[in-house]
Amino acid sequence: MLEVRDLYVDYGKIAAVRGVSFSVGAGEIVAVIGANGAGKTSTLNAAAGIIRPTEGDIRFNGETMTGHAAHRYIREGIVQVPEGRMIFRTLTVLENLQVGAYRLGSYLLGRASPEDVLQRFPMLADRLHEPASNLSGGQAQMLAVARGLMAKPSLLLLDEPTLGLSPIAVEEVFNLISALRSEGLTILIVEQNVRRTLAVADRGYVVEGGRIVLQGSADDLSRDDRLVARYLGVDDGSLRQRARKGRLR
Amino acid sequence: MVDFIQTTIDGLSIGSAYSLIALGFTLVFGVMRRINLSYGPSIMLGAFAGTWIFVTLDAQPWLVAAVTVAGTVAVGVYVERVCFWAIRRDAAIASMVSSFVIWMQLEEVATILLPGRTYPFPELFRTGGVEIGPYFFRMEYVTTLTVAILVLVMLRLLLFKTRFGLALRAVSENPAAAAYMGIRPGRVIFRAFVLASLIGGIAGYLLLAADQQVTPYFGLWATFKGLIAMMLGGMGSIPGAVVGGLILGVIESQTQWYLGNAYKDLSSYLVLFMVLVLRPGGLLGQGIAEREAQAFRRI
Repeated sequence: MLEVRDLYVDYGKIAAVRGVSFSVGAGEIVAVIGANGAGKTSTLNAAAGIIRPTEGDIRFNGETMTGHAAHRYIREGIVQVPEGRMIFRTLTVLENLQVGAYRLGSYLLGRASPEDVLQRFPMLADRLHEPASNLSGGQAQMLAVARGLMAKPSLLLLDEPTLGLSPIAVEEVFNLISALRSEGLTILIVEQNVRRTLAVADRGYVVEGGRIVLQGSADDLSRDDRLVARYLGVDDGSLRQRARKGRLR
Repeated sequence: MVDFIQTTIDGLSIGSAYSLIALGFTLVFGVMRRINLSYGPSIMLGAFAGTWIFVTLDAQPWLVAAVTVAGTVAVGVYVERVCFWAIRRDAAIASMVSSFVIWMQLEEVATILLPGRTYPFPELFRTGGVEIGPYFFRMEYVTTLTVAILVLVMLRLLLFKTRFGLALRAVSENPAAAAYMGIRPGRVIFRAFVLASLIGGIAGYLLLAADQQVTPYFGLWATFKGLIAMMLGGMGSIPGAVVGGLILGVIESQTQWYLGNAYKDLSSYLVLFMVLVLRPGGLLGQGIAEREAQAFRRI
């Protein structure tokens, strides 16, 4: 479904992604794992057309996407739920959902109806006309995913969907991911919660210093000694701290 | 009491035109967090185009109105391309400085187009006014107020009932998040500029038709009034622009009536100063002021 080959992303002199190749098949959940600053978000942003890669080839359903802008990607069905949720706090919950359907919408707003998406999020349905700033972190993440689903994606990119959430909310996010997958949605996910992510994913890629250092099925990866030692041997919180201090290598 | 109410009515009428100009500033500030100092001069040049066809071709008032609005939009597009789009990745101050430079350019163009200082500007209706009880409603003011209310209603529908309005509000809050949803911020900003120019052209026509004359200083005057009204009401706040414009109009007409013309501007600066000391974000702009302050704290 998605084929990315030899992807390079530079920010001025800083090379964030240095030759990453990966693929996502229809119906799969593929995880991208790595420490902070490994180049995961840049990879995802390039795959969604948010940033233009310096080099590389991106194909979606056989069609070349490289060089197109984000709105073209969305029209083709590639939708990203950004890191940090990025919901519109001054807009209502309903308006946030309508922004999600922006690319499909007609000139008047009334027609972008969120009913299909809302069936999955009863909590949001109850609060449609409240400003999104009223939502808790977990609810805001649900809104961010719901907003992405409004664009009717065939490939959903999730960037750190559980970052900063309570354990209960983390649970809800992973339940949602499983539910979406069972309905046939293809998902590419970047997550720090490696254990939980590999439990729902089919395959995974481990990124370090802008390169893929390890890849394989989720089962193999969760048994891989190197990965276990580095990402699974410690709980995620202290992993994050160590990664931030740069002691991980 | 009759005097007070009468001056309030006059103030609200002229204030409704200030509101429209403040709306133009606030729409652009809202989507870009940048100030377009050339906004007033763009309206002035549009009005000069209008008065030019009036003076040279003896055009009908409605045609002058159309040319004024269309001229303002054309100049607005030029300003957007040069001062905002071309340097959109540079610091916000760069846009303000270059919009000041373009201001000078627009004034030059106006004086080349019509070298004199003052030109007549046609009014829409020749009738004097209506009397209701002890109150007198000048026809120009009735027109101004009616058109301003119409524009506000249309703008509200546009912002809250259309896809473009939603995109504009989304970009105002967070252009990066809007881009993730397939909105092209550059396009939304361009359209917001066209919209602001359209509103400015209408406001300019109404104000000048009430004065029945236009000078190159109208640009400076309109930028001042619009900025003061916007800051009174709150930067980037649409209800704030409306409230700010109305308050400015009432303050001016009351001081003019009770203290004389000389104190008109002084009193409005004084009120603006007090508002900004007590509520730094303007009367209704506190939310935006706080968000910006938070953003600075994060840096």
